[in-house]
Amino acid sequence: MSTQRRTTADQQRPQALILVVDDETMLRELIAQALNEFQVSTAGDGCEAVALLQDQDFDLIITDLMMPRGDGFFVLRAVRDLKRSSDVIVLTGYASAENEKLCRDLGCTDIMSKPFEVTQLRAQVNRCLQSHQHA
Amino acid sequence: MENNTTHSDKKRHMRMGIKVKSIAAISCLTMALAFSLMWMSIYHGSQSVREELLRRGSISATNLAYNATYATLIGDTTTIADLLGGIMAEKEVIYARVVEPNGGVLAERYRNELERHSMSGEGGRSCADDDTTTTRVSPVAFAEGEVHFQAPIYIRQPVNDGLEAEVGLYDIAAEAGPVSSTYRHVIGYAQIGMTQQYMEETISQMRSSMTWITILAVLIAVLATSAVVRMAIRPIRALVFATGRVAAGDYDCKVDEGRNDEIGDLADSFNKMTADLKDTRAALVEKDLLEAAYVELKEAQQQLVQAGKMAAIGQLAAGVAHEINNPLAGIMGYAQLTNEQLRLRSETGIRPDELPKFRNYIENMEKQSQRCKQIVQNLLRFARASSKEESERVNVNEIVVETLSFISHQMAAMQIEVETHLAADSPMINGHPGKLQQVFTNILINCIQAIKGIGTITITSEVLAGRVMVTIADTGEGIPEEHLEKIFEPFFTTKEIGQGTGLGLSVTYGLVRDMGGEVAVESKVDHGTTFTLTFPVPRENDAVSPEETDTQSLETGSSVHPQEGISS
Repeated sequence: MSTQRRTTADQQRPQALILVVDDETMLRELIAQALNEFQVSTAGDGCEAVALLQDQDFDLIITDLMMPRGDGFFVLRAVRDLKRSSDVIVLTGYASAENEKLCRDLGCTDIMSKPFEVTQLRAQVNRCLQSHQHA
Repeated sequence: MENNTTHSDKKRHMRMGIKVKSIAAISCLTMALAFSLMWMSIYHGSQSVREELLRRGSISATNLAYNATYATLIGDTTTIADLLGGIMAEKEVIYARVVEPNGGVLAERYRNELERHSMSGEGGRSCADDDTTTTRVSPVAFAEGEVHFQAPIYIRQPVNDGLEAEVGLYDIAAEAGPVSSTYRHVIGYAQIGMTQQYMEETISQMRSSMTWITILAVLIAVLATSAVVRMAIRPIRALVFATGRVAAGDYDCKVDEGRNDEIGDLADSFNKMTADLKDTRAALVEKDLLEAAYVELKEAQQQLVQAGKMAAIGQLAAGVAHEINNPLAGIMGYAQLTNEQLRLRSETGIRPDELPKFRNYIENMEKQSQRCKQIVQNLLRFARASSKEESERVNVNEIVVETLSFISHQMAAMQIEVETHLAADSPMINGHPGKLQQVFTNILINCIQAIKGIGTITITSEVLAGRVMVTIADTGEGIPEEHLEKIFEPFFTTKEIGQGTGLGLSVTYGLVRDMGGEVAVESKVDHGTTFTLTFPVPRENDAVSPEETDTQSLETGSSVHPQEGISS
């Protein structure tokens, strides 16, 4: 089943580029493992992420919100300022209503909360990538 | 209130006031006095009028007898009649006559014929029967308001000498001499009847005028009494009125104290008393207000502490959620990945080279579980510490580290670095772990908020001169001097409405004072702020009590101590 989906994805586009930003190494690795069908880059904080963004365009960015040296908002602003077409999924352990609103205002595609279901994350990623391709 | 008034009105209406009482008493007294005086004067007056009548009657009879002696002796009735006419000039005289010892009338005159008819026989008889040798004048009878007088007409004859007659006139003069040498020879009687009618008239006139005088006197007495009583009562009434006003709560009511007598003194005392009462009352009201304000303050302080606690808990909850959700995400994610991949290999089995990957998954799960456990333990310890009320020996370093564990992630997320220089000899103080944690959380939150962008918070603890000193310094925007002295005041905040309660630092101040400590702040705009907390170190065998502190201050430089009593 999983293999089948991978084939479909491969047919649609050779390799989608995904950037995972989280200060927690363990979580970066987990997400990379969960999304191993895609080409995943990782960054430990906002600054690293923006450095990568400047060189490369990603199909999808999954970012934590609260991070030292450049938080999720910083990443969102960078995407906006660099005029990237990337979809952004914010993955956070705790977001106040104000922060959620700020994220949406900054153009995030979706907000997911930690802890998350791996399958749900995959489904969300696929949904984003499909709509991204059609756009 | 209304019932009271009507009741007292009724009472006032029904009772007899001093005025009525004294007027009644004095009137009764005056009347008794006047009427007894009247009775006495009427009695004595009528007595003297009666005596006067008797005196006049007897004098008239004696005179007639004397004057008529010679005429009787020679039987000259004309002269006697003349004499009788003179006597009849007296208006009280109703008849006058001269009779012989045997009862024969020599001459007589009557006021009117009717009387003559009714009186003649009786008068004559009575005269004839009367022994008159010893009594010169005697009222014969009192009948129907009449008095009758009879005087003997006599001549004096020596005992030895035969018929030598003497005229009574000389006889009266000689009466003082020896009586034995002469004897009286009665030759007739002078009889006079007098009416008491005029006397009665006089007496009744006297009685009526006395009655009028008495009534007038009583009236005057009553009027004078009422005037005097009214005058005497007026200041008392004023006092009663003033007392009523004061009782009703008008303490500005004054009584005129112009009088220079006992009532003036009373008014003076009353005014002083009222003034005292007013002061006392005001003091009481003030005391009540102060007490109410104190209770309110106490409640407000408790609310502040509670609010501060809630704010700290809210802040903590966010931190805890963040802290705990990351490892939870790891556990859940790796568990799901493991499950997924094992299912894929249910037929083929796991290749030996895949084992490290699975081991890594499981190690991650274990590690993250440990993290969760640690966080929950910290949280429980915090909760336990917060709910504990008594002071205990607390290691300040431990509390600092614990507090940091909750918010360090948050600070890292906000590009804030934390440096700690904690004293090696684990400084112990008498305190309350929960409160201390709240103190550090509040100050750290303040520091975090003061740092815009990248910054550092330095926490130092040291033991100096018998005191534990904790300094928390940030590299934030600093506090302007005019705000510095207010930052421990409740509700003082420089943040926008809705951004800060203005309670955190005032609650902090109260908590530190509760533990016998002091908190001071130094700040320099654009360079940062340093909070200095000092706590007394309890001596080894001291009982746990936060009160005893030596007040030696350790802070130097332009530090500001909040004024006492603002929030503690």
